[in-house]
Amino acid sequence: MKRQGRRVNSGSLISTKVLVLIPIAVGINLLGGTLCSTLKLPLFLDMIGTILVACLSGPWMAGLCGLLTNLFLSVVANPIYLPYAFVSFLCGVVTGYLVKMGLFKSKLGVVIIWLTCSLVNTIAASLITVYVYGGASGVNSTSLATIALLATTKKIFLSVMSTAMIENLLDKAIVFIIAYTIINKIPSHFLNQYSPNLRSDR
Amino acid sequence: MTDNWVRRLNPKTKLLMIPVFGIATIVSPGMLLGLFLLLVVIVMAWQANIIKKFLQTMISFGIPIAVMLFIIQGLYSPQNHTYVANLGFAKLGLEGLMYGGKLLVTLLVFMGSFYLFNKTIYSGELAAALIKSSLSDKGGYLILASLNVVPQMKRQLQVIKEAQEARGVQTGGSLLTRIKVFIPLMGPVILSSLIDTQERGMALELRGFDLKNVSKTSYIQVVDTKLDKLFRIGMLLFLIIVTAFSIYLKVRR
Repeated sequence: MKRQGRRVNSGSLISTKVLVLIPIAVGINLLGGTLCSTLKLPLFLDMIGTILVACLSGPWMAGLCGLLTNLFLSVVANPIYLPYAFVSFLCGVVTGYLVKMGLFKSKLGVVIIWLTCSLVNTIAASLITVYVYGGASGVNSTSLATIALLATTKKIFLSVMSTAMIENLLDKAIVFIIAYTIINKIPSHFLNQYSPNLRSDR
Repeated sequence: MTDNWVRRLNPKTKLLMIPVFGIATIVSPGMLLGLFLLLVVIVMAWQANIIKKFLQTMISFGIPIAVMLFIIQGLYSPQNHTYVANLGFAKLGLEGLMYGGKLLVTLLVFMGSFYLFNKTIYSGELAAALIKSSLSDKGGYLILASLNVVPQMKRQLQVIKEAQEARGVQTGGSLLTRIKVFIPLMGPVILSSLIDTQERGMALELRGFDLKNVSKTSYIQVVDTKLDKLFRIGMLLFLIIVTAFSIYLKVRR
């Protein structure tokens, strides 16, 4: 009996319960972005699903989720998001490992994850903005801020990075508050099948 | 959806077109080859009867980024030595402009072939073609399910938005109220779709999705013609020749 159970599960990289979670998480990410543009918010908020996957099924699945999100974002919205898939992948993996270390249990830990994630996102995204798009992708108002800074400082990388930093800190703060609230509201019978020791109260 | 040769090409062929065209543009010196490849993509879009939307997308994508690139690279690139114009507050450099132009052409080739690929395939066909050439069933499911899940969740979001408005939640107003309204809209969608994953998982398991060592069947038959194979081999050869030629030019200089 025991052997049979093992044979069903071994050999497959992703179990079915994780497999069905990823498309939903990608959907949540895309929906966050869509809702942002319907409510006319100057943010992205497209990482909620990735954080949920990071909490529920580990860093690499979160990375995959981030990668797929940007892939589909470039299919349905604007191809400009395609190179940033790498950034989403990196953020997912980093968040996943920090959650694995148990940082999501306390509020202080979440703050640490938030800061690390913003930093990683800023550096990676700035590198892509500078080397792929030559400084500004022209998707939103931050490109204008970059040019204004560039005119005063004359340094391309510094200007791109400081605008990205401000934007990311705000964006990720909201995303992590929402994800933290949701993780604490998911019914236990659902949460337990993924990772039973995520909440602080047990 | 009209039937024509661009649409009938195997999805794999069109997928391969994106990296081949893009990389060839990057490695080639100057932007002549890039412009030629851009022309090829435009002709294919014309053949596929999507030329109008194709040009619309390209222009709405290209103009803002062109303006940004020329301002940033033209005025502030550290490589600028020869100046073509003096605008008073900054000088317009030739090297920066050339760099910006090359970057713009590369981006347009990448985005153009990606857009063409995206608009001339049927997603089920892509998944079937990729599974046939050794992508796992799970990878195929991931692609298809992610594409299908978004419209479904959008409908759900609409229902929840109406319900919350009926309760008196304001969806307009100042920035802070709009940020606050994000949670009552997003929360129910996320929770209900997470619960929904359990049902999906059970449905897949019941149909033996996780079984090993059994041959699985597909509803969609993808044709891979001789022309497709010829195209793919041709593109790879083209890439090798372009790379070799650019390296030769660099070494000789």
